[in-house]
Amino acid sequence: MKNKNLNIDSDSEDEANHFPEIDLQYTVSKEEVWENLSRRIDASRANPVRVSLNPFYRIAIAASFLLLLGITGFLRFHTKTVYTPAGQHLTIYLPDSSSIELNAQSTVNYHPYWFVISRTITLDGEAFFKVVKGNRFKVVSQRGETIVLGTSFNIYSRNSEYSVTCFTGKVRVISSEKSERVLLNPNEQVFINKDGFLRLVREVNPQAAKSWTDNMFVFTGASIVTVLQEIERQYNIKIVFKADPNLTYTGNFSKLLSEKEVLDLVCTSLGLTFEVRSDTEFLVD
Amino acid sequence: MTREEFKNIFDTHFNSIRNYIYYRSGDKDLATDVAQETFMKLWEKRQELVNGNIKALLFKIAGDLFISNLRKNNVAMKYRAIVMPEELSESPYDLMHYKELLQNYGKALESLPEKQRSVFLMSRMDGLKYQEISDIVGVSIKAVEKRMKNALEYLRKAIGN
Repeated sequence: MKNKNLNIDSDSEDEANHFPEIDLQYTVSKEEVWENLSRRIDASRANPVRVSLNPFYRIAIAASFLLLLGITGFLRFHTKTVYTPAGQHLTIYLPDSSSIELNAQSTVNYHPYWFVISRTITLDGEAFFKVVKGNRFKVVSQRGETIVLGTSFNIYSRNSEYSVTCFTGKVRVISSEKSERVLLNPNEQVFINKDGFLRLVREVNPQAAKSWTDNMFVFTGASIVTVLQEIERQYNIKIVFKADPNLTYTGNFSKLLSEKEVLDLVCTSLGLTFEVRSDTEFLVD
Repeated sequence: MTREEFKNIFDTHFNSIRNYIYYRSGDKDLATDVAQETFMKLWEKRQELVNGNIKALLFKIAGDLFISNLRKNNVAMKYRAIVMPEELSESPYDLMHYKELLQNYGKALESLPEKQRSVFLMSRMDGLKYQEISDIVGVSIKAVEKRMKNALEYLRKAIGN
């Protein structure tokens, strides 16, 4: 303190310099502070700070997101439905060039744009499938699911009856109610019983199951009701049945015959009679 | 603002920001914390920055942070005057006397009103012109001069006693 006798009138900026300096040693160095800051900045990048955008971009982003969602939703859920009316058969080609032959009064649904990702089809009625090799191909019906890789098979799913017949390759069938499953080999057929369990039949003649695709109808011990329903479907007629529903029929007919010839064939073998009520209505008793 | 630009700003202004808070508070740890927080705030606000006076903004942020910190914490005020090495060669008596003066000086700084102290130390330690101080503190040059004058008077008396 050499300048204790300070001149009050001197420039105070200069005068300040006559006083001692103070200690400016900090315990944390500037570099350490920078390292701390860097760490915090990196951490805040990891959980990105909300970047405020102007309203136009917000709307644009929201709109494109919705659009994307819409397109995906459309591709995902757009459903194609094919229905064959009574008296007709139809062949459908799927996006993967698998084919379905649909029997009369049968419906299939599938998602055409989503088909590459998930080959899933719902079926109500009867159809013969030729599935090209690829990822899992699944046919969902009310009472069961059939899963294949690449094969041909026939599914019958009408009312409460469900049966699958395997022609080539391997077919997995799952009962919806009991989740029971079976792997079908060629020439095997499986039914889902009334109680929901599976019944496997080996060494069947698979051609009988797909004979409908050649306009042949083959019945082995089938209920008369089932047979007449099939005739109704194939000829688009109405049959009123007033006889014992427990009768069973074994035989076959071709669609080359007229509906009257077919009814005559069936009724004669069972000792029943039928009368023509109109062009499209018949009475069997 | 890129990371590099931010680093440049940090390098240029960090020390003066930290010192400024130390001059005001007398607490080094608090000064370091406030200065670090100041730059963190600047980085967070980098999107909203328009081309302006970054330095003034930094001092403003630091001042605000200091005020809000002051309310939360008890500040431990401490100023320690430095012994000039060339003055240590004097006689033991003078040295003792000098050390006493330094102690008085430190205490005087602590008891000096904050506004006067920060103006005085910015001038003394950082060599800032009155114009620069008035920009930082946000008062007129006249007011800076007045605070400076009062501070010098006070310190003179404290040391003289």
